[in-house]
Amino acid sequence: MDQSVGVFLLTLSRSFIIHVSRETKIEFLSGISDFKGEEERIPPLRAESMADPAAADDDDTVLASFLESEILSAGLEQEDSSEVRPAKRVRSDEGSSREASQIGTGTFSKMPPELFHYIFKFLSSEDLITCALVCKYMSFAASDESLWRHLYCMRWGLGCSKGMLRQCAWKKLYIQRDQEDMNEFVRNTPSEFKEYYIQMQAAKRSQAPRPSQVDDRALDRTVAEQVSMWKKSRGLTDEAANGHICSGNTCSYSQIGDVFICERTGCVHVCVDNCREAVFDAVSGFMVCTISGQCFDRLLDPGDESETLQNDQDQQAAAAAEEPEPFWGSGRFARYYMLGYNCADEKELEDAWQFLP
Amino acid sequence: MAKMIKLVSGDGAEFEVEEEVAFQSKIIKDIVADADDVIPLPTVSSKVLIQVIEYCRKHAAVNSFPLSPSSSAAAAASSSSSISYSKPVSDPALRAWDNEFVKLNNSSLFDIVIAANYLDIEELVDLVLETVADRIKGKQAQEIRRQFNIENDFTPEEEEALRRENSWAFQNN
Repeated sequence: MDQSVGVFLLTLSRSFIIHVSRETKIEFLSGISDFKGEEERIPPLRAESMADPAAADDDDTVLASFLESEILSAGLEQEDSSEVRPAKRVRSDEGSSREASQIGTGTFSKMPPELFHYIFKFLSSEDLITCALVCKYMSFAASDESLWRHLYCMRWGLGCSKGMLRQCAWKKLYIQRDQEDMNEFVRNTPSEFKEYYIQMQAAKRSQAPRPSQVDDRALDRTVAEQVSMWKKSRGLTDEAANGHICSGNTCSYSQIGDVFICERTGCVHVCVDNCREAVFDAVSGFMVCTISGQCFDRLLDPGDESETLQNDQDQQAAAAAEEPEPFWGSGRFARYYMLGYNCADEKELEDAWQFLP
Repeated sequence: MAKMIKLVSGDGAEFEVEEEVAFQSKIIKDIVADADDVIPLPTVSSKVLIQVIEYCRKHAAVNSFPLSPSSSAAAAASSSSSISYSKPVSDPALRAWDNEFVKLNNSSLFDIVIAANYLDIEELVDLVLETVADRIKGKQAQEIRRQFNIENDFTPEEEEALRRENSWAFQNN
């Protein structure tokens, strides 16, 4: 419901007229780097644009977007009203002023900026660069630092300390590092493999984030670290527990990326293609992982089927011998319940929240 | 008898749907919890609303009649969460249905995603946006412009400067 209030405020704001002098702008812009607003709404602040008068137009965009975001978060008082500065890059033949924060032409014109941004989250670095060439709005949107931060971390993990995270110019960093990597490869590989390695490197640029990676929350740590931290928060060590057989029917799991952690013992199941926990489901004809619920195509020949069924039976018998969990099963609701149930205090619960799928 | 909710589109047409279908939309779920069973949706046209209802109907059905216990865990997981984290749909049959569903032109797709965004139907938003992203991937700038009818508002000099700046991405050497 915040959305509709936001839209209303925004409509209001656009009917007000705002004039800001250049000096005020520069002061204001230098304050932005301290601003800890939602990343998605704040466009990247390129250091060059402040010093370079030729790039002053970019400031208009930044200003417009920032004001828009402030209003949407219902934070600021309105500025004095006077002449509106029309969005820059407006075509002179167009009578009405176009918003700098929305794409002007084509099918995309009805798309609100946040959805637009969401589309870009699915794209590889190569595609982002291509988009930057399409039109001015896309150029602006495709340079958004949060997108590049995600791509950087996907490709190289996090080399820098947390303090650096917010202040880097991620797009520049990505390009720089890609170039360094390429140079190193070209220097160090024997000439017969050069072509091959160059192609391999180039392929990395066209790697797009998988749908499950599009969410940013897991961004700041690798999965392994997260799993470790999760276990520590539950008092479990990294060694496998003895005598416990995990199964989708008896245990509840916490999910981090493709990794499922048994909440009782900390046993880790990584669900990838044809994982070992998958059992054959006669109804659908697929192999279904009992832990994650993922379905895979069946690759076994019919001859192996009896063996698999026997294994299933053994597994189920062993699992049944253990005391079953209460009725809840292994669904998400159950996991939340169990997570909360086992926490000693609110702090622990809060720490654990971050690992919830 | 399943409880029915009435949705009224922007052009005044009324659609009665089962509660569980309508509840694929978190917004509707909240509204109904407070009071009404009649929900006006002035920003959504009939054409779009029909398609959205079709999607919700299919996904609600899958969530209540799972193929097997483990797929029900995954399905229940994706529908009962109130945290905004979306999982890819794990049932291949449903995924195939989804892929058929999004075989629409860009304009229709955008109408759907805007409605789904307004109604807060996370999975549908993700589905459509991912489809649009797929239509962008691997294309050249000119192709993208043609696909989505975008005007090239760069001057030739600006365009040339941009290409030079970004030539690293197109280098093969």
